[in-house]
Amino acid sequence: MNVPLNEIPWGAIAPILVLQLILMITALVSCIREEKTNGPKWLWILFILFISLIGPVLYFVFGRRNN
Amino acid sequence: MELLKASDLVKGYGNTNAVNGINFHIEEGRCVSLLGPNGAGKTTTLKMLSGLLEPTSGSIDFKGEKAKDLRPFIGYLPQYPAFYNWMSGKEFLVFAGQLAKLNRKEAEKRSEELLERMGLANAKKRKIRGYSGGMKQRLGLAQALIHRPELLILDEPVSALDPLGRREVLDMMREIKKETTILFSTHVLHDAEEISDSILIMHAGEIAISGSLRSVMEEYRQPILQIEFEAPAADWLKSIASYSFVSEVNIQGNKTSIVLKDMVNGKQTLLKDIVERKLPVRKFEISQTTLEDLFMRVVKS
Amino acid sequence: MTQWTVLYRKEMTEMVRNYKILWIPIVFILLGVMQPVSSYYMPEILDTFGDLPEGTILEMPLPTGAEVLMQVLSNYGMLGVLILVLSAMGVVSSERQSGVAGMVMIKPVPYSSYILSKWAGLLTITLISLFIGYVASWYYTSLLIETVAFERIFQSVVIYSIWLVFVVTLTLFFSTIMKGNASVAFVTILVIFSISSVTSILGKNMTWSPAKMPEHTGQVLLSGELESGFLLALITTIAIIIVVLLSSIQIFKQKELLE
Repeated sequence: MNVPLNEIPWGAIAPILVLQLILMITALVSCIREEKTNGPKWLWILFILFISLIGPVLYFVFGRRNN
Repeated sequence: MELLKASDLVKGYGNTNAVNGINFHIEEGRCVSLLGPNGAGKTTTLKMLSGLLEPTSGSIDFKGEKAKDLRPFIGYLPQYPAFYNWMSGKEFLVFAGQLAKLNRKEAEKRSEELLERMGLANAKKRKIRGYSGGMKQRLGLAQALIHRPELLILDEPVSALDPLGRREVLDMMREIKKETTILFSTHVLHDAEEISDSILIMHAGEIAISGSLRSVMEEYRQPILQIEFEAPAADWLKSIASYSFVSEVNIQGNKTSIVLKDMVNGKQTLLKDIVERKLPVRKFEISQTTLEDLFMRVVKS
Repeated sequence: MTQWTVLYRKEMTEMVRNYKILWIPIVFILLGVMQPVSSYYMPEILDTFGDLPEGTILEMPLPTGAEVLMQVLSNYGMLGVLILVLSAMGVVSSERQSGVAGMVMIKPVPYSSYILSKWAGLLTITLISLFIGYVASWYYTSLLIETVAFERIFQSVVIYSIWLVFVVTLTLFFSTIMKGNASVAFVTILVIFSISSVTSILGKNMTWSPAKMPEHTGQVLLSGELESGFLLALITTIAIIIVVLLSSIQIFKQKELLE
């Protein structure tokens, strides 16, 4: 990357990163506390950690067992 | 006093009737068991009484009046009680109490009382997710009692439990029986004999026999002779069917049970026969038909 | 406290415990905010990561604020709707499957209270997510591109929310009549997709269609004025919502609980 760090518009980007982080942590907490997930838990954890935004959303929609 | 009366109750699904025109009533303060094999229509009947299922035809009277919505007066425990597993035991009870129109304070107070009584006080803050089968059944019993119903309806309350859980729930029912009318279904005759005052035996959507436990037993009780041989005695057993005092002979290997119409005469004649023929008898016992025999007869007929 | 309130509070508590109240709004905010950010930085992003040949001059007109917000709403119309439907698909069907719906209905609860509390819960999460996400998007748009008049923002979000209410009402309906969660989601999405496609194909003959609402939203954003067909579409949409709700209640009454 040839963009110097101080040229990245942190003011605009930071809130987005923070929200993504909150989303990821919430999904992680939920996943770890869940007794059983749909499909292997470790796979969901990898999903949540490494695919930002989509990973946590997929987990919330498909990973949790209803009731 | 008559608490509930069902008249010509019918529930049809398509062309078949799960419940086919039944009539019965429940006296206040009694503990009534509804007996029958699986598929006899017990659950359907209970669901109609609890207001969860609309009868196809027929009517239900409650305290002498045609009932519109019975749910305020009835506590119901389904065969497989389900909960919001993310709630704690106490949260669910308060929730159920408020749905039954208790205010929050009453619901809280009543929940605490019932949790204590059902032996769940230590688990009240735990999520229902982690409850065992027996605990869920007791919580189910508690939610059914939360609004002090006049009639408690329990669908197979003990059949899914292990012996320990079964004992617990039966003991609780014995307690509850003192203050509330109970109607419960079961296919375990022993439970019915143990705690109910009256029985209703259902078969194929109809009520075959009803009455108080004692009167039913007396009315249908027949003397029975149980004979166990050391070797099969089929010839003789075939021949005794012609005696006028014998109504039924059931042979199971070396064991035979003979239902008699006249015990005094029958006993003497048969004993004499055995002695004359030198039949090798191991056991000769006089007893009476049990609820199970009666049940089997109803179901097989 | 009425039973409706008790049930509605249960819905809200459940959404807090399963984090729905957190993650759905966050996703709406992110969807809303990423659009103005990527519009604004697109030339730089392409420049940095696009591997364009040295010396390429990028001529990309910056979209107007209204255009950016229209794009945001179009994202809500796709991904937002998908997420809402998927997260609401089990609202009744799961409770029927597990039997807990029967546990509620053996208490003297009106059937309408059960369905309407579910509906209110869905509306709450939907509207909160839409409003917060849209406001965040508006804020970023005015920060990076240009400020769109608040009046237009307000009008457009109100009109758009009617469309989303329509969507979740349909989800509730199918969740009441069907049992499998997956089929609920599939059928709901299919129906919404069909309504939208047919409306856009037959445009002129379907001025009454609820799927016209997103179009009216765009119109308000761009011109600040409502098209003539709006009132008709609004009336039919509300009428359909009411009819669908009432039929959900009636159908729920007929369903056998605790099988």
